[in-house]
Amino acid sequence: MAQAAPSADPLPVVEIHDLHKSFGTIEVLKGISFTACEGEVVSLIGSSGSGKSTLLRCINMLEVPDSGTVKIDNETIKLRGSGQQRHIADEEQIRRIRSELGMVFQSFNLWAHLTILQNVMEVPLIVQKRDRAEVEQEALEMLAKVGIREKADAYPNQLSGGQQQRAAIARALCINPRVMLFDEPTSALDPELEVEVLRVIKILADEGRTMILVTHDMEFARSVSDRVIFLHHGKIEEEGTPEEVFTATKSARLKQFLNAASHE
Amino acid sequence: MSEDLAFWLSYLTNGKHLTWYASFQFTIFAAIAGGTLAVIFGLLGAALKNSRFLPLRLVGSFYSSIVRGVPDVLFFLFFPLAFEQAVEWFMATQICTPEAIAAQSAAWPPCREANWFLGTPEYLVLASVSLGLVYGAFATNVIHGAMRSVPRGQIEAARAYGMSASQVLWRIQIRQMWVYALPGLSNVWMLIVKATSLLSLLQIADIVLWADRLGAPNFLPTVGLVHDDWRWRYYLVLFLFYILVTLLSEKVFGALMARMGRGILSEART
Repeated sequence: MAQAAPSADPLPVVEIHDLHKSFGTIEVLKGISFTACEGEVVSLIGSSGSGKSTLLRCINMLEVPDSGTVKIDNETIKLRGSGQQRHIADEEQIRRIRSELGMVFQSFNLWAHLTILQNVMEVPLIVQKRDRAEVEQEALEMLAKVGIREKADAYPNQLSGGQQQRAAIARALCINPRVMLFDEPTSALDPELEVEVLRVIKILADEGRTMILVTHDMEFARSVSDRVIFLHHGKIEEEGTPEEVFTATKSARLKQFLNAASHE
Repeated sequence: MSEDLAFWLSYLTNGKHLTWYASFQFTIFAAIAGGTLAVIFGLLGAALKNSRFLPLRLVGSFYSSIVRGVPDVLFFLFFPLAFEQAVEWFMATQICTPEAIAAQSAAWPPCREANWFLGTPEYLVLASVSLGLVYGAFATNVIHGAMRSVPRGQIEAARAYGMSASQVLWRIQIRQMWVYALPGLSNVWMLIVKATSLLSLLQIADIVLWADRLGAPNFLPTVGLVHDDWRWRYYLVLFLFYILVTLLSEKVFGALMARMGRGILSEART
């Protein structure tokens, strides 16, 4: 064996360094750094307005940070300008990187004019330019995996919220994502539909997929995460394993937040 | 009785009537070509209005706000004439020799070689372009509004998955826009259909012109008075034609709406 033994250090997939983001005069992110490694599930928690969704949206540049860097697989996303005028510098690069980040939105955002199967196949065919037969087979497998194989030919508006969100997860899976980004995936769902979506996300986490999850569901964050990050007023207030964060809570603000959350 | 029938048959199939029937093709051509161009100009106008560059945005806004206010009759008279003379002027700069200009006695065109004779086909094309330009301004507004009705989240999802700006535009925004645009576009279409009755202004022997001629009191030296003023009957036929076109259009737009609204309109309506 001439090759070096695989390093024990996990490979960083998403590296965020010193992100700042303001909307107008309101500073939403005040210098955030964190890393998500291969196979890691990182949950972002915090009250509404803490900046957790904005942080997630900075990873694929749906929001361009005013300063700071985002690296995906050790490749820095190129930005130009500064402050609120900062914008994407390399369209080609961002399209390539985005096509490897599977984002799941709070409001599903399935394309209404396409069937479920077409929704799942759209990006692999149009952006990744893969072979149709291969993509179709994979798309059907993904739909089976999230349990809505029989809805392949339905339109999104014919499905329940839970089914739509599972279709959106299948859409994210079918691009073979390096990272899955979940933006409050169950917040728009009734409690009884929440369960079916959480079950799917749990399966994905157990498969060892790299995921970053914004959630308000503390129970779920606890059961699914390798690491939990608590954001407060645009800063990381506390982070650690679920055990450390939820049981051996250090920050007073987090204690207060968890207390309020458990009394919801 | 049978004599009556024979009279009517031969009357309604005489040369002038056959020409009248044939002239319906001009009207139908102008409507379809004008409608298609209006949608194309509408898409262009909406794209301009959405442009990131201020000058283009101004052109788009100018087009949709100013041209909408120009009476179609006026534009019908203005545009083909202006276009014809512009072409003649351009040709004159290319081919007129000083001698030819000196030899020309009329005020326009500058020389005989630069004269561009417009026949019915040319006028028909110019009429269609005029219709397209005038009603494209309405379509611009309709399409611009419809583009904004496409849910933001779906456009964001398309961007988040790495689609390029033009892929987002064509595959998501324009594809979904039709549902919101069709009711407005069907209005524009009906206005275009109505405006086709203006073709005779461009010296096209269209259905209105013929109805006028055929309905006027008709004398034949051999027979005497064939009929007196029958214009209202001929106009009635035109009414029926336009009503038929309206009904047909409603059907077509209904079908288009069902096709484009699949997945977007709620189940109850499809």
